[in-house]
Amino acid sequence: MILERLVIKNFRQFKGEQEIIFTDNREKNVTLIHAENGFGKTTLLNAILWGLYGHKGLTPDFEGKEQLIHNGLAHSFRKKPSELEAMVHLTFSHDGARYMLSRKINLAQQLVDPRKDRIDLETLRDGQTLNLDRPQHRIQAIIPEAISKFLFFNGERIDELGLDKNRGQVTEAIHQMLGLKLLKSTIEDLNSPSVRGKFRKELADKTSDEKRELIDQQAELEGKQEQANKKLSTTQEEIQAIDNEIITIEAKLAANKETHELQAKRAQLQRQNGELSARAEDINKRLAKLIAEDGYTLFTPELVAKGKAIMKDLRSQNRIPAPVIDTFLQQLLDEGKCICERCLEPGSNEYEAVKKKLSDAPDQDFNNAVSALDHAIGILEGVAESTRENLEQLTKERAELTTHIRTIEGDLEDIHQKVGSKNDEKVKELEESRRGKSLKRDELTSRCGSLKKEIEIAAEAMSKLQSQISKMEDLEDKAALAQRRVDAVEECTRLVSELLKAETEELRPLLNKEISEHFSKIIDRDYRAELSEDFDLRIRSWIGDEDDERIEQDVALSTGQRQVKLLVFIASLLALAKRRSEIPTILKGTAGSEYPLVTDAPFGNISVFREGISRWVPNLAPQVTILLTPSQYDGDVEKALRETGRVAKRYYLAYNGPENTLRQGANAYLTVEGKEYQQYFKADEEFTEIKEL
Amino acid sequence: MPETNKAPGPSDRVKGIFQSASEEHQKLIREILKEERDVQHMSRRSDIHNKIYDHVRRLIK
Repeated sequence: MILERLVIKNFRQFKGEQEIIFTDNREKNVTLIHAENGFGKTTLLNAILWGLYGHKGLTPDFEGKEQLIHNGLAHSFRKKPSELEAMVHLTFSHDGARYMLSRKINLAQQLVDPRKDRIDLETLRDGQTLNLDRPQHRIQAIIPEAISKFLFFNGERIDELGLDKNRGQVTEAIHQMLGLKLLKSTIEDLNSPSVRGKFRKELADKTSDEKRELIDQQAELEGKQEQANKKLSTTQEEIQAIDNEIITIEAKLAANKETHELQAKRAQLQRQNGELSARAEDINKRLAKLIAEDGYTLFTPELVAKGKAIMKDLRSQNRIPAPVIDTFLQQLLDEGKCICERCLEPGSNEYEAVKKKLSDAPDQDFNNAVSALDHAIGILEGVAESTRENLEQLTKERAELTTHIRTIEGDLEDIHQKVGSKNDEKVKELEESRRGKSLKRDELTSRCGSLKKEIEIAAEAMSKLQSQISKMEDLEDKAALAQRRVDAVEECTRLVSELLKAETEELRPLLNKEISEHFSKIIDRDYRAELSEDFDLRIRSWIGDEDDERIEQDVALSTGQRQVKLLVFIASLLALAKRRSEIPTILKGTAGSEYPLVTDAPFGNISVFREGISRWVPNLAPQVTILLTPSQYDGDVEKALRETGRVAKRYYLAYNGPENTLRQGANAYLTVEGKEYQQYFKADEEFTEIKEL
Repeated sequence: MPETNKAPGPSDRVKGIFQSASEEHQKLIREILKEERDVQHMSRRSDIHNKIYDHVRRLIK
């Protein structure tokens, strides 16, 4: 999807029709929108989201979601509400076709239910405009809502995407953008009770009692798993809703001058805590893997020592390796001559003596086994040593993290006490509500953990049953056919899962390489990005001077570095998705696609990295639209963007309103590239206009 | 776009996995994916489940 044109009408402070034409040039791919704080950047971002997804697409920090129509006009039209409407019209291209999307809501509808609106989607085909049915469904197919957070976002809030609780959304976005969602949904559908379950039932109806019993057990487990999956998904949705409520409460606490500082400190500690917890979880996983795979070696030193002593003893007795092997003695007998030059005539004493030795002599395999045993003992000693070292290192890291997390939790509790003991009743109420919601969220998170375990156990048991069922033969034709169909569903599920695994495993290093390359360039350090198997993005670096003492560790990033990490991750993902859209795939529909990036204030907290971000993000993403304040633009950003030569279009938001409503610190004139533009106009009514530079 | 990184095309491993399947199963997967393409983002799954069921019955005889 490449954005072409946005028209907004009467949407919040944008009165009348306003238009933005986005650049669609792949080399000059940046559209800049300059605006002072409070002039409408967030509203503009939300206008795009509302156009695409309606009310549920609006961001959590967009207040007053129930009033989308311009306030002043709504007041004037209060007696004829059906004559006033707000509208967002978005023209975009996707996979070679052009689409025109319109979403409208009139005042009468806004008063009844602002969640309901009217959406139309048209496409141009062979010079003709066609109205498409199921427009919302088609928009979801072109640009699924699950990835919108990664494409249209407020740069200052981007940190939230990096939190552990949002890892599922990261995985989903990767799957969506790289075209792997198709495989994922296919696996889920094949596994559903109305596909696999139905075929199993048909098999159960036509097969032996013994097999039927196993199939019934399998169906029962499947039902339990399905139920647990549903519960898990509902619980995760509940957590998301609570998180949004907490965000709103915390925004209110941050806006209150009594609690502003404490809330800022809390936000910082929460971010730190989230990152440390994710690292602790990762260490736990690595510990579990280490113990499961190599843990046994820790109990082997005594055995290894004993084995070595036995080997040494046998060696001293000259019993290993065998000095004479059977093939050598057989050769002497065949040749009829001993190495001492005596004749070995069959029946002679000499012949019989050698023949007797032949029956006792070991073969070449014996000596091979001795070498293998030496080698295995050596390896076992090495693995035991490295396992012990790794275990010590990971345990130490975990202990440090736990201490750190406890300290942060203590600090967070202090902040809670301080905020809760403020004299302001409103603050107390907000803090109390925040506490209640946090406790509820913790309870739900714990429930998610139990449900995941339940699902895992059921899956394991089902897999065992499946293998037993497949081994039981059917004599009846009908039963055999039913079994073949069950097997086909199972086999296709296995194949599609393998394809998904292979594609993911091959794309992950490419994404890692892309992210590492650009992250290191921007922050100027030798760091390596590592997207783990479960899509946790960590930044690693080597510590220690000597080569043999160097170990790789997670880097504790600053707030600015974390934002850079996520921005680079998103831009790299967009670059990879675009490249993937340009090459043929073995299965149609599993290609990537082009997506736009629209970001509000991407340079919020990244201070020294602004220059690098402005230089590299437009180089990766196919189309970039940046909304930014004059202070964010001035200096490094301006210079870097000019040097890239990628800026093709520029707009600014001009505020109209009474003098006393102009935000403190906002200038009446905007200066861009040395030229001044009037951005504040005195008017009786408040509204914002979009002007092209 | 940077030219340095290799385009992520279908690898031998991915091709190998798909081609290791019997022709019957390859055909079934293609038919199912064809149906899935348009509905992968929909939350209502009953129609696609019926279509997959029909494809399995039609192709596995």
